[in-house]
Amino acid sequence: MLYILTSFLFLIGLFGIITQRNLIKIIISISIVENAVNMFLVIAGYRNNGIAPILTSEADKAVITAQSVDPFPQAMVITSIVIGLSVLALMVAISLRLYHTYGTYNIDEIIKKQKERS
Amino acid sequence: MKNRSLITVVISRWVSPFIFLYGIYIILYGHISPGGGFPGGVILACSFILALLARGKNAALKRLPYGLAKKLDASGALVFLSLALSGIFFTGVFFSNFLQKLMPGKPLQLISGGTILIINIAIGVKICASVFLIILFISVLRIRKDKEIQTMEEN
Amino acid sequence: MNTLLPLTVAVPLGTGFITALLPKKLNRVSDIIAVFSAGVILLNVIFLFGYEGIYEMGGWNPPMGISLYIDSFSWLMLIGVSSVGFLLILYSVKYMSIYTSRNRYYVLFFMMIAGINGTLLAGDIFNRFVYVELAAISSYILVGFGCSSRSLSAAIKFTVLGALASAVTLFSIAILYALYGTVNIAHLGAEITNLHSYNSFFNPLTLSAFMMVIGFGIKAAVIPFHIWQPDALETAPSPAAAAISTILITSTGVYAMLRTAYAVFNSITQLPYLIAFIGLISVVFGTLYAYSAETYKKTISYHSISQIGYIILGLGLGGSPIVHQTAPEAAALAATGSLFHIINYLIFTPVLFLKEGVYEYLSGKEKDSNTDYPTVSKAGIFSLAGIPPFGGFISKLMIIAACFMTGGLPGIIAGIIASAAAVHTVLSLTKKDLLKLKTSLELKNIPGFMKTPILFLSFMCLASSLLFLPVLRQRFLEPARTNIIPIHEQKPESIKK
Repeated sequence: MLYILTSFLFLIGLFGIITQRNLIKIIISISIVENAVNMFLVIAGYRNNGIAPILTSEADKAVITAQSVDPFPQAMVITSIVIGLSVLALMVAISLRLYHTYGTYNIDEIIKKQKERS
Repeated sequence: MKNRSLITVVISRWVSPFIFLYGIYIILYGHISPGGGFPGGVILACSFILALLARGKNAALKRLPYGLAKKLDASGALVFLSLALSGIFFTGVFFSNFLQKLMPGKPLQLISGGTILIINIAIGVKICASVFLIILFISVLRIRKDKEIQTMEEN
Repeated sequence: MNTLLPLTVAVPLGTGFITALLPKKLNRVSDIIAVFSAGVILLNVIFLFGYEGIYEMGGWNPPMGISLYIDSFSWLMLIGVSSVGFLLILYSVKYMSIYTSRNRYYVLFFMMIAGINGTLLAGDIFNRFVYVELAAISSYILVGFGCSSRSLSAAIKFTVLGALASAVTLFSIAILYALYGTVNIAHLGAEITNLHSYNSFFNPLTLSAFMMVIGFGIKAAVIPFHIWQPDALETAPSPAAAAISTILITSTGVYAMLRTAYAVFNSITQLPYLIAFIGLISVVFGTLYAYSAETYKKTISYHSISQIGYIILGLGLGGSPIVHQTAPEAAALAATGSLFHIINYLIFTPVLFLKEGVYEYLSGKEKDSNTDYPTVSKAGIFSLAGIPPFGGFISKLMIIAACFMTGGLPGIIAGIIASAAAVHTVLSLTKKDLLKLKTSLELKNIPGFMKTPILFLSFMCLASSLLFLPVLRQRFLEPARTNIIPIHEQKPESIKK
């Protein structure tokens, strides 16, 4: 059930990328899509009545291996969040330079002004 | 932002060292409790970004200069790579945890875990410098139209 | 456990980090470091010839650990990528003097090479995704390197589409992990064998396969998803444009899609037909779109989309289990032809882009060449068009012949369409007068560093047709062909179930 909700969030972000005309809103939609995929990956590691996989004392080892949620997707998600962060920073920097050149964030007007200038 | 109130300037000057200390704690205890290199580095960068937001670019650049941030960025990554390559010299396998064989410790102590500690510190330093540079480039630098180079202007 | 395997990824990463430390004044030092380490990477790959095996990072066994895996197909792509990379570094020593920050260009270029080497060597799909992203992010910045407004708008288009592709690919990896609990390629291939447990066609496994095709299809610039490619290749600096169109598209797009389709999704027998269909669409529409291109670089990028279509068409037919059972000679011919066409593509496409770079270097600005300006080398266009003594002719002929040999109506229709598109390529290049340019090598002092890669690659355009001789074909192409079939059939012994 949670998988379907996360896929729905993915589809909302996808709709945003396709239909929005403002560059900042496209960037926010990409961020929504990345968050949805990361959430899907974390949910995939859930075990019923699981506890967090943190070892607090030596005696907990047996309890942790028997009952904790899967820590491997959490490691994957750390890497994926960092990748998403760097792509987001790059997109914001490029759109800022485009704003200084063309004076607008709207992609239709940017294309029109680009055709006029060349 | 010329109209800065006295409260934000003074309180940010007091709170920044605590944020910095908290970031160091999260980096160093990365192999025992949740955290590690990435979140710790971001929290370290937050202390400099607080100085940037509250007191202006001069105060932030006095704390962490522009050239030093670029060099820390590259050298953090180089420390990571050289530690991975020196695994070949000690045990013959790339990226192996050779320090744990040299200096084993009891579990849940700071020394146990071997190279994970040093790798966390290197990544923390690199992420701090990188995130601070990203925020600096986005908010502070402008382009002068006549000369097409980047100069720093007042935020 | 050969130590040369992780060094193939570690050396370009280290070079990138070291070059980032150098200040802006030491340009000559960074040139020397760049050329030296590109040569080291090439030697590294040459010494790996004939080695097949697994390298476990840190000594941890899979499925807990990360492993690198090499076989003959990976080696074929690696040697092509490393040689083209070395020649492009040689070219950019002189070319990048028209840009201002040369150190950052080398950092980005070597990060891209490190990501591509990692993609070709990775042993599990999540690690390969991380390397693909490393290469892709470096290429987003390389497209916008000139910082003009046209470069920036091409870069934002490329970045948005690339970010969408990476999210879709990660979604497919997440579905596979949720279903099977592992990301190792060998383990996944062994476990995805029973498709019969799903009743209908719309199950999570085929959804994962579709999303994988879409994600890697955007990275490979095939026709439904090609939108970023012409603008990006037009505004990037010429060696970076050559690098993106040859080594990035073939390894992070074509190689990753085909490895995942044959090693992981081996039991979905309709998937290679979908891939071959996408290839066929790219072949046709690549040459049709080239009519609408205004500049020379856009024409070449549309034609290179159609060549990628040939590669995907041939490998889609060549690895499909159904075709292997019904017409095995057709499958072998298609696979060999596609591998040969990958080699030819890696040879003739840089020539086409580096030629433009000569004009930009000599005239100091982005100049669009028209037909009365003599060109340095025509071999690239002839090999792309598939004119007989050049290498492109034999590989295209093998792919089209294999389409006819598969028997059955779809194969024959595909063969007719593909051969019509090949003839149409020649006609459209003739219409734009690209086959009739004068050749002149004494264009007002071209530097030696820029002349040597173009001449060497032009010579290899002719010499690569020698790869069809049986003695060379059996050493290089035949082992790679046998390795396209899934790797879990040759299961390494360190996997404990």
